[in-house]
Amino acid sequence: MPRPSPFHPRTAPLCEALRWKDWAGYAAVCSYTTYMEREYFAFRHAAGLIDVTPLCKYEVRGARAGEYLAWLMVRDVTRLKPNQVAYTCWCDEHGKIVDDGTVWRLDDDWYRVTAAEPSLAWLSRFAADFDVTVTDVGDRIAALSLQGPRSRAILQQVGDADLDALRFFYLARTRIGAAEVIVTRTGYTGDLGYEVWVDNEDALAVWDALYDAGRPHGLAPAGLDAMDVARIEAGFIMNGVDYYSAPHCLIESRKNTPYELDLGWLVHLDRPDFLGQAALRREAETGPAEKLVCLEYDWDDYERLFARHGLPPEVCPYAWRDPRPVFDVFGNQVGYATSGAWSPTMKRNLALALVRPEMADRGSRLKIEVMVEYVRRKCLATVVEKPVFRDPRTRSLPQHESV
Amino acid sequence: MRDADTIVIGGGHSGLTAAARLAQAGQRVLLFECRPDVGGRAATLSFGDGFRVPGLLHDTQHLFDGAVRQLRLDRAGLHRDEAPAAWLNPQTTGPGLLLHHEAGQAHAEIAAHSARDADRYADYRQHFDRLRPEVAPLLRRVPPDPSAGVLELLRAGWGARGLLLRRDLLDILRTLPMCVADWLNEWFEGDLLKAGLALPAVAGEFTGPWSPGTNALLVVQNCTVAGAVRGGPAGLIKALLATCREYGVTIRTGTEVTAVVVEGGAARGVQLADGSRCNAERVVAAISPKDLLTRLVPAGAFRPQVVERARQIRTRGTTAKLHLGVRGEVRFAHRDAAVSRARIAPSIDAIERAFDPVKYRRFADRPVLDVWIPTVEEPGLAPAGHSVVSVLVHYASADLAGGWTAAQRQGLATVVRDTLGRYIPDLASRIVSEQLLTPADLAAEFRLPGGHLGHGELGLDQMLVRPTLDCARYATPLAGLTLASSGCFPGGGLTCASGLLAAERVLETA
Amino acid sequence: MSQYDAIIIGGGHNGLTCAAYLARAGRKVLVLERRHVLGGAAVSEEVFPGFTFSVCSYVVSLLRPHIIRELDLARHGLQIIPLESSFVPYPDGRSLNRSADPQETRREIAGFSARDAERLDEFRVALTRMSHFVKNVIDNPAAAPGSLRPAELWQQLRLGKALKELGPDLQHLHMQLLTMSAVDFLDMWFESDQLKAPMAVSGIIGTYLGVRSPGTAYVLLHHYMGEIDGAFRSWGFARGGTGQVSNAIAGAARRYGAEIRTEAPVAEVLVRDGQAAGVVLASGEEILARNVVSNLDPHQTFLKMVDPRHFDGDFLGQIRRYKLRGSSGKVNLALDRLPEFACRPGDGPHMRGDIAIAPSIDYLEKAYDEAKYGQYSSRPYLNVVIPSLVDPSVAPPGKHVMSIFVQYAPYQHADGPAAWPEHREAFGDTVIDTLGEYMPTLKDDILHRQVLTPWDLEQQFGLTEGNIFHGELSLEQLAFLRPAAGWARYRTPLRRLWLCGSGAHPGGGIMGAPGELCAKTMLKGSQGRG
Repeated sequence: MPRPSPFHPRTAPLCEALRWKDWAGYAAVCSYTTYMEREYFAFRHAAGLIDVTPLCKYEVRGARAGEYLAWLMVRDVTRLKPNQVAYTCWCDEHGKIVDDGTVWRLDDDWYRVTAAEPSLAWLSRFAADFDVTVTDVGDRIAALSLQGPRSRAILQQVGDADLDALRFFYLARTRIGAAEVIVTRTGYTGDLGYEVWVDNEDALAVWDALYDAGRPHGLAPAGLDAMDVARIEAGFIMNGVDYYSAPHCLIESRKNTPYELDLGWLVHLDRPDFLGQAALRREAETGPAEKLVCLEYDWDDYERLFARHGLPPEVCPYAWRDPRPVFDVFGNQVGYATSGAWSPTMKRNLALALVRPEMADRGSRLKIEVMVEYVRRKCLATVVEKPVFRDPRTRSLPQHESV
Repeated sequence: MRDADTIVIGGGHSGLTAAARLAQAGQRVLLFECRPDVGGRAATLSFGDGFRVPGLLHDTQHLFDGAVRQLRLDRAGLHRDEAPAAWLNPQTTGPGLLLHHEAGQAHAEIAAHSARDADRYADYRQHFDRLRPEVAPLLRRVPPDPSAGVLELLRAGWGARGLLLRRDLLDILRTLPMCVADWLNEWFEGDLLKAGLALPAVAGEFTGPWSPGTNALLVVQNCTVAGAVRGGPAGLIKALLATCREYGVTIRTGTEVTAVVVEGGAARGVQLADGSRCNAERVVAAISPKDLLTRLVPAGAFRPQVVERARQIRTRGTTAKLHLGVRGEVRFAHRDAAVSRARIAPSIDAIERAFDPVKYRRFADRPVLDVWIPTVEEPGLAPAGHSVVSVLVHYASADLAGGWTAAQRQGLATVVRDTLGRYIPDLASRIVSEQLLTPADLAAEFRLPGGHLGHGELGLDQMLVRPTLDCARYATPLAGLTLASSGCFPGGGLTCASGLLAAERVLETA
Repeated sequence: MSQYDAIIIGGGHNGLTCAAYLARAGRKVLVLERRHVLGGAAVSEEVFPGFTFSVCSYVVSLLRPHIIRELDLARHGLQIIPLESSFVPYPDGRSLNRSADPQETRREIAGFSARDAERLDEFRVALTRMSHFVKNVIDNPAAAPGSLRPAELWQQLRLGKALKELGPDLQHLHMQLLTMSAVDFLDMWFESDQLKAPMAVSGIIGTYLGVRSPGTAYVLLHHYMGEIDGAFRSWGFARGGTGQVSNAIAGAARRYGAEIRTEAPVAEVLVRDGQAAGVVLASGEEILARNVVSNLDPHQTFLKMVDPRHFDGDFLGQIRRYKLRGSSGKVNLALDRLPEFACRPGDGPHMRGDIAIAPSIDYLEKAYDEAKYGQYSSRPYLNVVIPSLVDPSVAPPGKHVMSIFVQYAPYQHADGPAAWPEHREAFGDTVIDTLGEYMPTLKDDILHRQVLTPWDLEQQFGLTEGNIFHGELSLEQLAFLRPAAGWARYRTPLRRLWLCGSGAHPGGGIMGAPGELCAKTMLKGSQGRG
């Protein structure tokens, strides 16, 4: 039985649709009502409030904590300023990706790491060498993600942090009511958004404060289904869906490198030794064997495939995760799509796919398998710029925003 | 044992026409009519003390020439007037408008109201004179079968080539879905003229002059109009009956058919009210298609959809009938000469306002009236020194809210008398007999489910595919059963077209 | 020397669409808008501080999905939030909410008729199949019956083929849909007045017809066109109001190089050597162009912008009898808080879609009866939306904007159209009173109200007779007859003058189709450039 998160007393009555799933051992809401789109649109137009407690959270402390994390991660986290957060991934010694997540610099000797999968073992495996301690704080800290253009206004109403000055991928320590919280300007929707981290005992008070302040702004409680669509629009990959953690892979071909997953920008090669450095350096020279791209289905072709059966084009109402083969225009398989979704905002049918690097350039024409009326068909698709959803508000500060 | 080759159910004008045509072709035909006399809505009705009305309906001007020729009705005593009859749209304060069909004759009367209209009226008649040769034939042949394939459609297109290749085709197409009010407003300015012209296009229907699609009926009517039959509808029936007799049709009146007998997947006879049964090769039903398909054919003879579609035929009655026996002559105010036909409809909006109440299951408190005084031409219909006034009353709901109680009947009769009285001085004091037939009465008396006098409303959809998709070309999905009433294409009153075309279809396949 | 390949008179959404397509094809285009804002009737304005109204047109209905894609409107800021539900309260305290959740909808309808709840699916299937065919019609220029030109015959053949593929049952249904009244058509499927009334209203929006008027069934299809467009779900709010549709299209047009000028009213079309050669602005400025495209309605275009002597009498006759007859008004409210329905209190999905005051067929028909004789309905049909619930950007937090579409309000008021200003506030009161019967607290929550009569729509937005669709969408004014027989292909009898507004095929609503098809026709013809 998955266990309830500290927000469960609030989320359970709201979840009219009774749609739950197990996320890292917690009962997590897929969608609150049968109409998931409302939750999605809340992310894009107002604010969506999502319980992200199941994210794995670790604290890394010690004088050499920064140095240690820099060795563990592909990104040079020693460059982090205090209160700065970084998105990163980490690899095994062959440069194969283990997980992705964030690293926060809370103090000179105090970092926090979030991860998709339980990573205590991996994170602490070499810790002793650096004289740092790694603690799993996942069960103590509850987390809410508040995402959407209204999130700043809502948070401003309940907390005393200067959010107007809080930059993208920075954190602020503040209070919501009596509760001490950390607010990070991060999220998984590609929109303006914040994540609020709070001790379990204060969780409900924080939920109530955000929820009540948010309602006049159109805040909606949101589930994983809605977030899944938003993250595909934003081009964010997901561990266990778009790639698999290397230590869990039975076969080599299942493993991926950051370069393959379009995370090459995270890799800081020219620095002291870090885990996987040699392998990654080789790959940086030779190039990856495949490349993650965002594909857009050619709608006219898609429509035609359905029209053959007299059907209107149907798209999956939520993000799909069953892999689909990807072909070149001649029908030879050149890769596979791992997840995809119809983008309600951009009005495009999207997929994240790993394809041969020579096919990965923007504008490259490919085909992707579509099942129409129990028949496998190939639909034209184009490699498009990632992310498909991009709005300046995501990264900007209010004074730089034009109204 | 076969009692006949063909059994015809219903002795109205369609049934008689079909029976006569089949008998003419050599078939043994047996016709059943549930009323004591044949004629249906065209039969002579008696009321009061010696008054008679030669037909429930008034209009015989759309009779199909082809039927007259084919059945040689003229030899059976049928006479038609040279031209459509003139009618008066009276006024309380003036002489009203007496409209002759022919533009030259009509000019002076119209000009008294509007010189512009008088000139336009000639164009109006010419418009139809030009349209008529192309439109009328389309309404007098079996409609094309839309599912039959390209060849059939091309054939239909070829048949309509005169129309399709007209330079003003688009304009003609434009006018069909319009409402009569808009179209007549494009032509004329005078209220009496417009309202008088508009009335027949909406009379009897569940539409007002502002309802889209009503113009199609106006066009159809004007493309088929000709002289009236002498003696009115009864004169037509007389000729048809004589023709039936001549060709040897056996007619049994007062005989109610309770069911169509189905054997081996085909209609093979009818069950009669007295329990007996008559057998035949086929059955032609010249009664309400809705009644036939939903009531008289045994369950299971049709696919359910056939019956369901039949149930959906719209047949809302909106017309009542008032018959008055009047002492002395009936003269309209400010008119010296006797006038036999009048359309009392002061304006387009007056018609629309009369229509409004039926939508809420009421009757008009200011009805518009189609008046016929048959004694002007045929004094023998009334006792000496008396007149008959026959009035088609628009609009009154067949499905009146609260039902047609005595008080409601009285109320309707009163508003009709009052309306007439405004145009016919001292009428009230001279009424000696009165008969009111509410739409509900008509429905019961003439077996018209819903009360519509033409077995199905003439909305564009029910005009084009009539009565239902499954039976649009007279044959039904049940072998041996053919429809022939004016509930079939082309509909529209006493035309005899559906009866004749149905018979021709039977002969084609027999 | 012409500076431009085309000048577009009027920066409504169709004019902008036309401009965007022309510019995208490399043409040099100038759009001239009379007002200070773009969008025409698809406009957002901050009427009261903090409250942004979609002043006229308030939902995005049939904006063609391929236009969204081809012009990449999402990148230019277009975001459409689907309407979540359709809600109707009834005077007896009951209510019906049809939502995006089919199961829930079925349960709601079953409360009135279990039979209707089941029939709804059959109805949806039939109408969706027919929408396939209709899509053909609205996504292509109008067919030209009677023409023997090979291209025309080919198009007719194609239409004929599509029609044939429907099969006899659906062909028949299609014919019925074209000719029947919404009520008669729905009667064939459903029994409960409570369901039929709100469904029937889609047939009368913007028309001068009642739900019992033949021909009104057709627009029922429009609700199912969304299904054909698949996931596009075209019924929705545009974030920031419908003006954002126009702004996004304008953004696309600009990106392709079109020039757009606001507060540049055009006084007349310049005609030289028998063809349109440019425009004269009210300021007297003359701008030359190889083509002039009018986004105005046919009356404005042919009777006001061009000297009538350039047209023959037959054409002018057709245009003069082209019916506009506006029948609707609009009331926009700024609300202090979210009002609630007595029959279903509080916030909920029913508040986030469109709310119809259409409690019965007779109610709707009576509303029409009054309008026929020149009075606004004493109890009108209302279509209410509260966009601030899903798009908080249009109102201050906790406050709301409410848009109320009102029918009937006949332009031809019994006292004459110019009498409308005297009746304006009483008309507004009628609307508020009507809604107040279902929302008891509404009156207390109103901070500001804006009442737009058809007269105001004409005066402010240049919609002749206040007709929101640039002309009635009745059969005799559709397809090859819009706006005049023989001139349904965006061309006009005056060479190099084109019509790209809703007064051209396929007509009104925020579709963009006339603008797009006009541009594509221009580009196909030799006149596009030279």
